[in-house]
Amino acid sequence: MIRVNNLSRIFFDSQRGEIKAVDSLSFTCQAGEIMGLLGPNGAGKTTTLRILATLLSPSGGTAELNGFDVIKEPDKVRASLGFLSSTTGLYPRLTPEEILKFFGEINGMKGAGLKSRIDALIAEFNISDYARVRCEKLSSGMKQKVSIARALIQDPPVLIFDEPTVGLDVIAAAQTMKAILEYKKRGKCILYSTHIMSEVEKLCDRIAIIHKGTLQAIGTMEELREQTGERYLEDIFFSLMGTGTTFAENGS
Amino acid sequence: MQNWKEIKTVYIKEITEILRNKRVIISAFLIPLLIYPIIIGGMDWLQGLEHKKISEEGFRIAIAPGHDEVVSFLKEKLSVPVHVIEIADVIIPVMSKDADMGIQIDGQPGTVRNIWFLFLGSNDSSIKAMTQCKEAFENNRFFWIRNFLADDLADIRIRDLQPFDASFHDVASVLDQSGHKIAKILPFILILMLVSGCSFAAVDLIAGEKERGCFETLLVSPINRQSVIIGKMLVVIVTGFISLIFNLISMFLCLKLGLFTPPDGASFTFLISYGSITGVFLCALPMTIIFASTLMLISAKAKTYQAGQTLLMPFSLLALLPAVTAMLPGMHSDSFIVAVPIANVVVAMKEMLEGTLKWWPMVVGNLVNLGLALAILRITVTSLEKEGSLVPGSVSDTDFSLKGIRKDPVIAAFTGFTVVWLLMFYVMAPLQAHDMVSGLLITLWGLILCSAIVIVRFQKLPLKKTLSLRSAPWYVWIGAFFFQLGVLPTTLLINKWLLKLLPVPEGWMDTFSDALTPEISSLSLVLLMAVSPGICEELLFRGAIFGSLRQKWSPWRALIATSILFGLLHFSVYRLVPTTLIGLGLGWIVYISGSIYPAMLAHALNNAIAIVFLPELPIDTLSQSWFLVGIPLLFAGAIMILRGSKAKENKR
Repeated sequence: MIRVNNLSRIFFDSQRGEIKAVDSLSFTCQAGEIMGLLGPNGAGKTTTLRILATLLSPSGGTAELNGFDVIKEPDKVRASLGFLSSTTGLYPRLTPEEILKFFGEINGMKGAGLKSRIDALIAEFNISDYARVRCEKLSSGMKQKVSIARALIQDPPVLIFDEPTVGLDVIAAAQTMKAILEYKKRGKCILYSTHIMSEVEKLCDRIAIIHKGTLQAIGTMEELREQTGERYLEDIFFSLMGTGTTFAENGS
Repeated sequence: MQNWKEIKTVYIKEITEILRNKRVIISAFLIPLLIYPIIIGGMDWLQGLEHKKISEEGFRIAIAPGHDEVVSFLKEKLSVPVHVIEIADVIIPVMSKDADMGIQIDGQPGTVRNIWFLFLGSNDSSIKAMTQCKEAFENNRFFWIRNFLADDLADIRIRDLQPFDASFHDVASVLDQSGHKIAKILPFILILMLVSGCSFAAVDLIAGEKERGCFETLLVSPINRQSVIIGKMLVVIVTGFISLIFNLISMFLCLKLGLFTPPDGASFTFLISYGSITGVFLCALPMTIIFASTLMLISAKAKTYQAGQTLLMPFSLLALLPAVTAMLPGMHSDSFIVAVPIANVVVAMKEMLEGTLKWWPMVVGNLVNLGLALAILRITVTSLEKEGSLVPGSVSDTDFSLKGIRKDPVIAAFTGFTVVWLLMFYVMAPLQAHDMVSGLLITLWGLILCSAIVIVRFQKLPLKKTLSLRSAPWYVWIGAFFFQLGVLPTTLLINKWLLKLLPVPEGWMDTFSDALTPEISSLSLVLLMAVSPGICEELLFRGAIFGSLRQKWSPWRALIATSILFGLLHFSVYRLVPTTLIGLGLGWIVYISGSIYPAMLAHALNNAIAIVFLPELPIDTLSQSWFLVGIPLLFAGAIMILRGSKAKENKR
């Protein structure tokens, strides 16, 4: 479903010169799988996701979503993708119902089909109480529910989540993760980017750890334990970063 | 078809959002509706208060003792109470503001008498007192003739002193009179309101959405990006137009309901024809597209709503400049103004309201604006499709630190030019006005030459290569000589045609010629005003600036930009086109030959001819037959320079 091969992206900064935000990154993610993209701030996670979402073009390598190349067939890639960023990206002066209708229409849906899809999502995410309230008046948890519903409007086969629990309270974060697991069961290919270790451990089938744009390790939790000799994901992470700080040493 | 559906979807969503945005509602819609009643009603109320105060308190008038007849006259003729202050030196109470004005009368009865009205021009009450007194005296001239001169002129009948009775009658229709008054302010206000009306929506829909993260969400949806941008732009245009309509309605109602009384108390009938209204809106449409697309383009450079507003402020002020210029007296649509966007529309609107508009300038002006609108629209769509404009966080701001300027040759060239231009204007021009010879020497051999070297050295570029300090074959030198001989009459003729569109004010040419011709020998003059600029200005423009711009830009783009900067350094709108054209020719010589020296010769030759021969040759005497001399010389020179280029290639 997602196939990334030797992907690179270089930015030019007038003061720092060339910056390799993503450097020869390769991984795949299958249908019914959640792939965790783990890395510190500035690791290149968001850049990778933006290339996959056709927002940025790669400097080298290839990336495919649902069999479509991000450069050659960007429209088909976008039609196959539900993208959720940490900012929720909701229009504050529109209601959840209006937002779902708008995104449905730009995904080519209309009439009774669109109406029934909106009703189904409103029911599924339990947002009927505030479906006609402007988003600027909703809580963070409510907004995130609407945002996930918005990403699912056209029932895409691939879902990308970029730090979806940032700024959410514990309950809202748990509800978000529950929804993501539910969609994994329905066979969606899910790429989940975060720097929160516990979420990755709970959600992801496989984990790709990236640092300074390069892939440090990839595999299941067991495979990463074997590879690093560490038990906890945090220790695995620090071991791969080469910082020398471990979970045990922190005394946590 | 699919695109139109997408545009419609985006448009409906955006207009819904905009109409729910309190900031836009207040700024673009509510304020225009309230501002005129508040301003006009407020002004009227304040005027009423002032009038009431004067009616009750009257004027305090200082006058020397012994002029009882004048005092009685004022008390009788002025419509307000008069309080007389009798004092020998009437200026004292006026200066100390104890009196609103003073009246001093010289001469004795039976002679011609001078009446001095002493008032303070900085004080409104004083001006009002003076105006009323002046009118009273002028309107009652015969009262004084009878009073002062009756004895001497007993045998002259009053009617002999007044051979005819002049009266004036305005035959213009009420519609035209009204249009004439409205035209003095309305077009400028419309431009102002269009810019402000468009800017709120432009900032909110681009910079605001980026800040809120909504833009990213929209762009990962399967929708054509052009549809997104056009959909948003339509909303900006509609918002600007609605703001414009609200302004007009508010202004119309204030005038129609009589909220406004002109200060002179004259009757004012507000009338405007439906044709004029339609014409004004037709003119405003291309303008709105220009504003909407430019504002969106600028807004895309900002990451936040606040940053967007800051960026738009300079543009808004810049857009008003041509509008202000067009409102100046003497600006008519049959001059160069039709080619100046914004100004052409303002002039067209003005003349349309006055009923004096000719159809062709309006059509040409609107075509110019429409062309520009479509060009900016295209640039905006292309620019906004770039990932740097769309994706939050990936916009790299232009770096104006010393390090940033050093790394970017285009910024370095433009910064260097700006510094030179400012120093020329604020330091060198006053220096030249003080002493032309030493001022010119310091400007050319100090500022211009040093700037050329500093621009190149600052960027750590190779001096010889950047300044094109290479030898050229003999035929290129001869080619440059003939080429310039051909360029000169050609540019003079082009300038002659341009001056028909933008006439030089009377006496300007003589003043300009005198200012640039110091009293020195002819040889010194040629050395100072031909050879020195030939060397120094070439090193700055065709050397440092062209050499820097070429590091990043294509040769022709660099050449055109260098020539425009060269034209701008000559500080005159009348010389802008010819100097730019000459700069283009000189740049071409350097670009083709790879050497700056023949261009120095050509530049010096151009200036020498201009100094020695042109004062004797008024521009009016130039005929088109000069082309017959100019064009062949130009081509002959160009062929020899091109031969130099071929020889250079062969040598490689």
